[in-house]
Amino acid sequence: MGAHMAHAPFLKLAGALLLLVAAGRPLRAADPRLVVVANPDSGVDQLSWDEARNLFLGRQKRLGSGLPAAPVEQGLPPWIRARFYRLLAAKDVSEIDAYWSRLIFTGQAHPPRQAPSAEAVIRMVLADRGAVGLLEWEKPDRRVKVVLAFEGPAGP
Amino acid sequence: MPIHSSLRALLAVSLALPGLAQEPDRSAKLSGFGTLGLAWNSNRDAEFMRDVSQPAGATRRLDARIDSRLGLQLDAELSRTFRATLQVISKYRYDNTFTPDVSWAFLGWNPEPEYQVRLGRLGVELMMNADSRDVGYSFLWVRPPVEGFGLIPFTRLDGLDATATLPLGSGASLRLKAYYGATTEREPLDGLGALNFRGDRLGGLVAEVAAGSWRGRLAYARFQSRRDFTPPVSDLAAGLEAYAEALGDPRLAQAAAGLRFSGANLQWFMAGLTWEEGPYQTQAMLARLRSDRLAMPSNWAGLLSLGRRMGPVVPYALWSRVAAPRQQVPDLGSLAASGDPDAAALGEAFIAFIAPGAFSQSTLSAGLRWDFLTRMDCKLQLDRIRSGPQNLLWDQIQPGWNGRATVVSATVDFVF
Repeated sequence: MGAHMAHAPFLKLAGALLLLVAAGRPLRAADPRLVVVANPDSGVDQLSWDEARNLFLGRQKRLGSGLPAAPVEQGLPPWIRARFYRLLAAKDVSEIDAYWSRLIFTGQAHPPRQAPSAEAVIRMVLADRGAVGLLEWEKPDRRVKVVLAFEGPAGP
Repeated sequence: MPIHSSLRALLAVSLALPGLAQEPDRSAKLSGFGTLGLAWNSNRDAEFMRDVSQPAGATRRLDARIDSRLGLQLDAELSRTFRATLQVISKYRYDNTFTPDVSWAFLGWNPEPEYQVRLGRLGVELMMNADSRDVGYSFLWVRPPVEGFGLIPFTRLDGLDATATLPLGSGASLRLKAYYGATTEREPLDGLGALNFRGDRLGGLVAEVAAGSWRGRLAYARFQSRRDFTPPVSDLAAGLEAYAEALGDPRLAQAAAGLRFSGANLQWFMAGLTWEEGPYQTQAMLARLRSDRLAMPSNWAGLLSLGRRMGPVVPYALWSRVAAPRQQVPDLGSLAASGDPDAAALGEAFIAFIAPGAFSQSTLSAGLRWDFLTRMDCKLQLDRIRSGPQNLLWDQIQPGWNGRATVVSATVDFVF
């Protein structure tokens, strides 16, 4: 992963991400990075933690720009969701699954769609202007816009 | 391919890759939930029930009936704004069987992401999260506290509801819901068949604010009966009316009116609060039932629940209570004084029918939820129950029952 650090645009991006990280701890090259990306035409440049939490928990139905929100998660490997919800809401992923099972089996709302890989998430984000995707940011991808980034202990 | 093997393959895929089994367009999706439960009650003088819809309960034998259930749900996305849901559930029901019932069957319309209108068979949110009280995986405890949830015979209606989910700013959101329809349920009546609530009217409002780790909810519901109790309850009322006339005692007519369920008006007022910050899961609820019928007297119910996650395990404590203030029972002295043995027996039957409604009970529970696999948990719970001498929540109460019991329960919950 260190090789990507050579990319100038990525360095610029990483710098921007650092500003978004509440803890302000420097990113280490070895950390797998979790990011939320948006469609370039979403009209959204960044998400607050509150917004991200509300979008991925289905409590907020629209992006800041007014587009209907369509959250997508990278479902595999499973630690991505586990770490995302630990960082975002300090919740175990089983609590998130319990939360959604209540909404699913009362017909109230759908959980975020899941895709099996980062590339699949990006494709879904590109297909829908309102989509926001959670994925492991292994290599920079300029097709989408990073709107929230997390640092933290290494994954699995 | 035979149906059973394709179904099994589908289940295997859904279990192995939750959420990935379907194409991202999720035009149709099969999902399900279930609980396998065992309960044991230390007191042999009465049977412990999960709710009043059950015809029998647990005694000093492991009982697999009261908590076990299985639900299957099919969701179909018909268009960008229309979708349909069908849910079937098998659980221990009024007629002593596990015959599957349709618990949800609706057509939903989302003209905008914030608004939803649903038409069909719908779950009822009378208490906080009461519409998901069969989905064990969705809550912390072995079962929703019987004091708050066990007395409500209505879990669903045939009608419509409308929901708006609106942002309030600074990350808070407001959910407003209104519903109205006809109830569909029956409730067993100790050895006397079943009470039928089919076609009665139920409507309500729910307002819920979610802000950060807090969720607060206010709810109101109103039930209006359109039909009378069936015999023998209606015979009891008719007998009292006849004696009211014969003995010229208006108090007997008043007693009879308390048994006439047609036109009954029950109202629920509910306030609930949850706080879920980090590892903490706390919940408090207070509910008031206002009734104008002796057969289902007014009461107060409340619960307080505290849990803290420690890795995959959440130990929790739960306290819940229901109390029905002593009701004004009409004076039936003229029946006994008439010297007619039939009249005296009628008076006793009346008291026997209405007495269990006016009761109080509290339970202190300690338990453990262990999320041992993805989308699967197991729970162990110990309840210490204290009840007054009469009680609607227990079945087959023997003379001399002391109203005390320890209930030990274990469940495995899953969703797929």
